[in-house]
Amino acid sequence: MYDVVVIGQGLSGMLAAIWARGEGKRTAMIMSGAGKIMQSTGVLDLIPGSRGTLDEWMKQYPFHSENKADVLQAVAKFKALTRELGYPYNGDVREPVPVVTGSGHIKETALYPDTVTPVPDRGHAVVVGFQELPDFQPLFISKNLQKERPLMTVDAIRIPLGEDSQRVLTQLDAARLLDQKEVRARCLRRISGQLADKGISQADFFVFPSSLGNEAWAQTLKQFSEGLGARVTEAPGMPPNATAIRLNDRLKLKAIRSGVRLYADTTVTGADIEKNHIRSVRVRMANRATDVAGRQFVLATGGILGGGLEVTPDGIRETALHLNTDGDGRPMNPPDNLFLAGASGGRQLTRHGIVGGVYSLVSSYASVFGLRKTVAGGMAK
Amino acid sequence: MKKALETEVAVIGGGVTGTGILRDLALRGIKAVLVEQGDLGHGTSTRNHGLLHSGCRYAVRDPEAAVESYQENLILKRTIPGSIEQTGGLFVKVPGDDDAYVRRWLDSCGKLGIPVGEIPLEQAFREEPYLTKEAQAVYQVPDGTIDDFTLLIDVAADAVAHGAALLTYHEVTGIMTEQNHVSGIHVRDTRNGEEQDIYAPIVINAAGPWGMNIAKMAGVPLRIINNKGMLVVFSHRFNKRVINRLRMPGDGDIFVPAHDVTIFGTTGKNTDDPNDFSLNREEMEQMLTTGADLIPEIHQMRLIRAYSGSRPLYQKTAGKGSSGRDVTRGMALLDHGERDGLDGLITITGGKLTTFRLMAERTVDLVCKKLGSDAQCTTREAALPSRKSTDSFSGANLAPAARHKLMNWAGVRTPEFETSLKDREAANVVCECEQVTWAEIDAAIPGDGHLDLGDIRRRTRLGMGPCQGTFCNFRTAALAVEHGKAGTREADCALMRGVKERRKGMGVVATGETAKQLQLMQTIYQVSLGFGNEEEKQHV
Repeated sequence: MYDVVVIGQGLSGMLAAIWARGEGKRTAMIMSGAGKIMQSTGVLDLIPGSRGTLDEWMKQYPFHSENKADVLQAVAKFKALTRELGYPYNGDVREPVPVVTGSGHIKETALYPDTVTPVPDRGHAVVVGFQELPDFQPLFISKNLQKERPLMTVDAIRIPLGEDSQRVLTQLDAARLLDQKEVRARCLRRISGQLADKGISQADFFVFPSSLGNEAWAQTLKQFSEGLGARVTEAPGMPPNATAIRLNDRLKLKAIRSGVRLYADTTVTGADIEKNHIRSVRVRMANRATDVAGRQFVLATGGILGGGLEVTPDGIRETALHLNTDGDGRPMNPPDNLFLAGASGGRQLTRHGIVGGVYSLVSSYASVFGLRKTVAGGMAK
Repeated sequence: MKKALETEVAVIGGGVTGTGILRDLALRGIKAVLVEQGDLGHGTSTRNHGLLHSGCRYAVRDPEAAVESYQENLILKRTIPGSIEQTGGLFVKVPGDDDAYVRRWLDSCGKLGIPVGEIPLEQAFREEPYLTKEAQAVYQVPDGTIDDFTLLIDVAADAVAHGAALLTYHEVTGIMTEQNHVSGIHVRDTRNGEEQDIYAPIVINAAGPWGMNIAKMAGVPLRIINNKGMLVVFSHRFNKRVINRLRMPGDGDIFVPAHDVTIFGTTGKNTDDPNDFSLNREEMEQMLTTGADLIPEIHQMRLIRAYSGSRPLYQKTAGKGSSGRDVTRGMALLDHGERDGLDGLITITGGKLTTFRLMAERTVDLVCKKLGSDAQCTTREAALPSRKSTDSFSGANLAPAARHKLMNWAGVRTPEFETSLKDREAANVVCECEQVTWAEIDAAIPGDGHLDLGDIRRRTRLGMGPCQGTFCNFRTAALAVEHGKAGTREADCALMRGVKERRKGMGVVATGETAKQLQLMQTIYQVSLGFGNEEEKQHV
């Protein structure tokens, strides 16, 4: 019997599990697939796909303005956790900042790790692409950035990352290559060479793919910013983004090390619900099926994109517990010991397919710290 | 000064009919210009099943169309091997369908000389495991499949190689006449607005669903029923052969394998607007329910997109209340000189993809008569080159799947790709689903400021797979800028247009995995890549 059973290993699920465990709860996390942080950018937006303030966000999501202190507390807790993980996040949800994406367009985000630097209004930027990486084309990106930042000078250079590489790389592959000291040194030499060839000497902002090292991101960041004598940023875009993978790997490691029981490659196929109270969930693993009992359950299976909700010809279906849902996939009269984190709360919460990182973390926080209060707890009340 | 150009024949419409006519004219040494309002085959010619009819489908209701189809089936298998897969086909009788029809059908196929043979049910179930076990009788017929994308490109290329001219993205704005004779057409470049006069003593209206618009400009009466059919694409190919339902032709009764997918359709609803490519969820659900009679597992299979196109059906009298299914699938060749007193104008309409060559032959025969030429049609024998290549692209550093695809794709362009693929980056696979390399995409970009991902898709299969361009459309647009083949704004616009078009076809089939994929596409573009504002800007 667990105190808390978390279903799902996206951002919402991992945070809920880690925080519940941190409160001394016996915690299990049931995971099928790889978790959706893998496909994300690793920066946490307020309202996905549009600019908006914290007040607008609170109006759009089921929060009330008196909860603002709670929201800020949740964010502070997330930032503290990332510092502890050795991958600190910066930013203030009250003041979103502009960041450049892997297309060169600018979007606003609220929370971002050390490898992402907000994009300035002016100065001289250089977009650096790697020949082996088709998902990040520097000239295209530089021109889009130039459109967005007319007062800036934007250049583009393109270097081979490998010595004599023959394969197409993803941003994550490139990040793993840059974990090697000699690859970084070679990379810097090539960048300097190209800058010299193009007569660029005043650049103060370098835009890279989301590839600045995986394990060795801190060394990469330091070596590049010192070597180039400028600020450096990753521009997350087409998945996989190293910006996100680092967060994923570190959260998972934290969950394991802190004693969360992980059920990997395990699918929840239903629940034993009595008087609107979940006693246990039925799970299927590679070679057996069993029940996982708990006092509290957190549904963090995601929305349509995450697979927690499935669109069928007859409507939207909740896939794990088979709860009754409304037309948006919002569970109707959910069990009293179930908490909905992230996009599992229904389609009405998503914008362009996702809820956004800030909602994920706040709803996870609410589901865990609501556990202390009344059963139905959480800020969504 | 307005541009002008003189030729013998102006062909209106770059579908398979017009393109076939252009080739036939060129092979007979007649000067011709084809004018197409969009890209080649953007209409009905790429919005169909891709079925090479054996004629059996029409054996009872329309013996003339059936016989034409069968004869053309044999000719096309010989002359356009690069675009045809000789799959064979099955006609399957299921419970509840009329037994008397089967007898009439067998009788008619026999009389028409179309070879039909019953095969044992066990054999059919073994070869087509998804076929309903309720089947009562299964007959094999010489159906096949046509890749209409390669067909159009190859026919057009052959016409151009023989001296014909081709103007895509040019719309006809008027028909020039002198007394009771046409003298040419006014056209406008739809992209830069530039106008041009094309002087020609003969004008052929091969505009398919848009044919009535052309007739109207010429002031001649013409009644065409545009009968819109919806089709869906499954994520994989589950049938080896074409599977037809053995009954009077109706909705949702043909499954056609096409490369690695299966295409299923269709429906028939009349529409007044030739630009109506709308998709209807309810219509699709009904069609799938019907299809389950042949393939019971149909509802468990993943659909990746839907599309629709209109059959232009000719009606002699402008009768009301026709459903479209009872109008002939046969072709109509109209000499507006004889019919309406406007000499030099010819309309060719109706017909089938399978009979496009014959339509062209008959049309050009009439042209020759009018021009007093005795040049004979050669397209019964003159074959288009195959798409296969024996070269293994050994000089290129290619992924095995991409190599395999190129060896079944490059055809006569093998030497061109051999050269371009020597560049290491050109050999990179941009579209993983369909294994399209940058070399192929690069060769399909005109580089004239009009990057269009749909045009590239029709030439390379870019973005046709399960991810529907989520990854490769972005790469293609960005690479085009990188290689100086497109401007940034041009690339951004092409990308937004391309994503929107893919989303439309996915939206109507978006359940299960496809709904997930659609959301992923939206999230990546609108949120991760930050194109949200770009789209808003374009709407202003």
